[in-house]
Amino acid sequence: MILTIKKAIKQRISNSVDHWLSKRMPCQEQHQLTRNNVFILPSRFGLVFLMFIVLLFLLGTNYQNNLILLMSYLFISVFITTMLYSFFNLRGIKVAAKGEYLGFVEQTINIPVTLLSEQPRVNINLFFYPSDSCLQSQFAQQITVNVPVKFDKRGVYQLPRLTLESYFMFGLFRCWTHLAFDVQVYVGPKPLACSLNSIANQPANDSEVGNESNAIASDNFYELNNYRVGEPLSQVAWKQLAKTGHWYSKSYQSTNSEQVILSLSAMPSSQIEHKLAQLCFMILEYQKAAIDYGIEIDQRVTPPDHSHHHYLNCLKQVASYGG
Amino acid sequence: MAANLQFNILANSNRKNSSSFQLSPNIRLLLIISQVANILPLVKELAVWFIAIASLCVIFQLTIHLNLIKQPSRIGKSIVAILGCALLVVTGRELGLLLGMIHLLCLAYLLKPLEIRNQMDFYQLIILGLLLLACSFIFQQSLYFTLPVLLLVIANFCLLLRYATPQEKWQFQVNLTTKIVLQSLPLTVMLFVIFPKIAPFWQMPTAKSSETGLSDSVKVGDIAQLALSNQLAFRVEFDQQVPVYQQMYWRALTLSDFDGRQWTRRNIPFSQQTVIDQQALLALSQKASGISYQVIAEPSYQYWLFALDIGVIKDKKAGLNIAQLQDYSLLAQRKISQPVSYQVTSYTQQPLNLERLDIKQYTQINQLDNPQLAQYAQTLKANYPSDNVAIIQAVLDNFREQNYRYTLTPPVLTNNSLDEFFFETQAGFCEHYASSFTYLMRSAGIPARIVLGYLGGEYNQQGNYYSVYQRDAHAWTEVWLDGQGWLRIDPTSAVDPSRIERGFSEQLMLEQQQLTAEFNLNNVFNRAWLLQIQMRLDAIDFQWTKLVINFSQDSQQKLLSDWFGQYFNMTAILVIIGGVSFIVIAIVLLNIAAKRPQKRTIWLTLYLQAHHYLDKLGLGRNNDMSDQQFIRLLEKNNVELAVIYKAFIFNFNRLHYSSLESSAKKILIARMKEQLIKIKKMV
Repeated sequence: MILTIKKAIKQRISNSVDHWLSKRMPCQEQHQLTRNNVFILPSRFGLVFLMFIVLLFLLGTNYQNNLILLMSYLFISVFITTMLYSFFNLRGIKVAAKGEYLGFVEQTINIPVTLLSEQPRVNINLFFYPSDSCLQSQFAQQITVNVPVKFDKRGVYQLPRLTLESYFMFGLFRCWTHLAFDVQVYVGPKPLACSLNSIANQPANDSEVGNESNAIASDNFYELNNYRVGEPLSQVAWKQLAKTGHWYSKSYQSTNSEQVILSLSAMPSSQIEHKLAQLCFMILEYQKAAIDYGIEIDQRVTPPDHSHHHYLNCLKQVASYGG
Repeated sequence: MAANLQFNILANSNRKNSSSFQLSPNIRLLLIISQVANILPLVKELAVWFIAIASLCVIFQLTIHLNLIKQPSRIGKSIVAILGCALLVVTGRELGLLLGMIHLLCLAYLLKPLEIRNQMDFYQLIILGLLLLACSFIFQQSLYFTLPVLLLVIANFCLLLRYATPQEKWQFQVNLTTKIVLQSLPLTVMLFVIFPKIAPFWQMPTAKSSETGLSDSVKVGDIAQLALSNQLAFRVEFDQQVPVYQQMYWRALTLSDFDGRQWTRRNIPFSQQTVIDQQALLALSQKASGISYQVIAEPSYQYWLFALDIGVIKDKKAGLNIAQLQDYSLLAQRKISQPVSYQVTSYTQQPLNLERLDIKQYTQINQLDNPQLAQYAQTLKANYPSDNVAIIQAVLDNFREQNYRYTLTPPVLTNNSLDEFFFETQAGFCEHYASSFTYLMRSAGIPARIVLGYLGGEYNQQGNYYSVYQRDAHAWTEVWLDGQGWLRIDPTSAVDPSRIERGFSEQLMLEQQQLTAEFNLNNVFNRAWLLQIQMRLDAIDFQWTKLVINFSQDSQQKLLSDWFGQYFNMTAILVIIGGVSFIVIAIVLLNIAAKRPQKRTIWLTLYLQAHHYLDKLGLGRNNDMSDQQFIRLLEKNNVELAVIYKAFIFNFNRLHYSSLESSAKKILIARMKEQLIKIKKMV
């Protein structure tokens, strides 16, 4: 009972904080840290240190000992100076992130975040809020950091707020900011292995997936193209590479003129989430094998292809299914 | 482009207290070093057994650090802690409360590193170290002590920074910390000067250090012992007039009781001490002009303060309660455990006759203690009947004419016999002469007492002040002559006049140097420039003591009224601080208020409300949608709603964008309200 109330209150508070944050620091492609979006409060150590200063003051006053008093004044001054230093350590940094990212449930997705600064900075922690791993970084001019993020559920997400925090100097202050970026993250289901044959045996809508493991071998060589980064190495024309030093990739024309269309409804599992996971697995497999494939989700057919763009598009569809 | 980039993944961020928290070996070693350094300033106060335990702890930690032995188990740690506590309890009474607490603190500080399980533990350790450094100021406050402690404070902050930025070079940490501390100094000084000094909230246990300097009982040989010490007793800064050297008899206390071996005084609580007649003092200060000066006494862990006769404390201080006793000495209510300063005016030319004499107390003596002296006194009395001055003169002449020696190394007397000294050995230090002289006087029926204090002082040209050391300790006699009051008679002047005029003679200096094993640079080189440097350093320390250590409520008040005018006081400071902070807060609040959007007009509120209802239907309006576009959107969903909205928005636009009479406004607003209700109903 109390726990649920606690949870509800927490939820409420975090909601209102989110709301306040989104008003104060809306989504942007690039943020510059200023006094308007940097927060600073004494850390736990800072509070203990303050208490210690009060203790010293009492000690000095009671003993009428000016040196102890002087020490407490020195510490409070250092405390204040440190506050300025910790703020200056974050102020003026430009933080940028953009684009769309794709990943799978429970998989660490690295979001490249670019930090720009004219002065050297120290001890900056970067993390996305719910994640418990964080990156520590110090840099001089520019740095791109891959900040990990993880999701437990399939879906299309707005990137959570990036927390940039620093306890720099003596750990007396936590200086931080929560930045929102206009970044979409497509999180596909965790691929669920399933047998290709089991699908092949099923009467798919308008596709017949047969004996795909031999697909490449049995296909006829069609033409040589300029090799593009991302194409499987199995397609590299090694002979030509050795001769000319140029990278070519071999294209095949399937003798099997039937097109592979992976249909969601044709997936063996009965649960829709598992079906999506299986479809995801299939897409990955086909992409790996560099065979043209199309997908069909709720009668929406995406024509076959095996370009990277196509691959991303398919996965996006899986990720955003039902959302 | 990407110059100097570094980043590392912390699998478990240090934001959370992870179970695997571990300090890097580098930090651990530095921590051990810092422990030793932080305890060093207190080492003089710590018991020997504790220092042994402390060294064991440190060695233990070093061996752990070098991986020679494993971390002790929890039981092992507990045993060490309990053992230390038990030892503290056993020796607690001997140590006293303050030192006991400090020992406990040190013990905690030494054992804590075995228990660093998270970041906060590390921070606690640092704070404990800083607290120990602060505590060391309870015992010592000289500039030469303060500067190293300040360096240690900086070193502790360095360690904190090193912990936070292990990847940087140590120069970075040292430079940055020093920079920050230096930048903090102006504010520190300002706080020190401006921040109101407060009277102590409650009584604190004081240090139970051993008493130094004169004590309230003296037997022959005591002062000769004290004369070996080159420790500073107090310093004096004269305002204008400086008395001649042979007049610098700094009175500390008088002794009136003699038990055959030593002179003592009655032990009376502070509140029951007989205080000098204040009226008489007041009359004195109005009648005569005196010499005024400031005394800055070093901690002696005793109650006696020092002044020339007749010393009158000018302004009473808040923190220092001084009583002026009937015997013209000054007594502090609390032990002098840290340097104190007080302003005195002395009326050196005035007779000491402000009291009614208790003849019995000052003539009491046991004739059997020293029968020969008593006999001699009777002879004198018979020779000079009822001429006390002649008797005194005769005894002094005796000292002068006979072969008496003034020496730091007198032959040992059996049972402190004054007879033996006076008639046989005839060699002694000031207390020998004062003691036997007083005894003689009393035997002859002349009221007499021993005065303990200091004689002379070393002039510091750079600082324009006099330093009085323990070696200047002196004992002399006061006799009461009717009509004149107490008269100072210093038998030493008859034996060794140079002691009175210039201080130690060369012979005495030589004796002192031979007796003190202390290594003294002065004695080795005896160079003028070295003396100069020493004097200069001492002058700096004097200023430090005067300005910083003795900066009190009164001096703060005085300083601030010097700066800001006569009528400046603490309330004014508080008013100013309050006023300034009020203004700052007001400005900030006004700034925030100015940034807030202006107050909403009624029609805007109504407009927003309407959209709030429409939002619920899923009919949100973007900012880039025109009225017409939105109405078209509404028409698609609900024609009736669109019609009402059209009228609503028409009214709104008229109110918002054209200036209308207030009556017209009212009508339009009323209409808008009706339309809003309709919209609400539809939703």
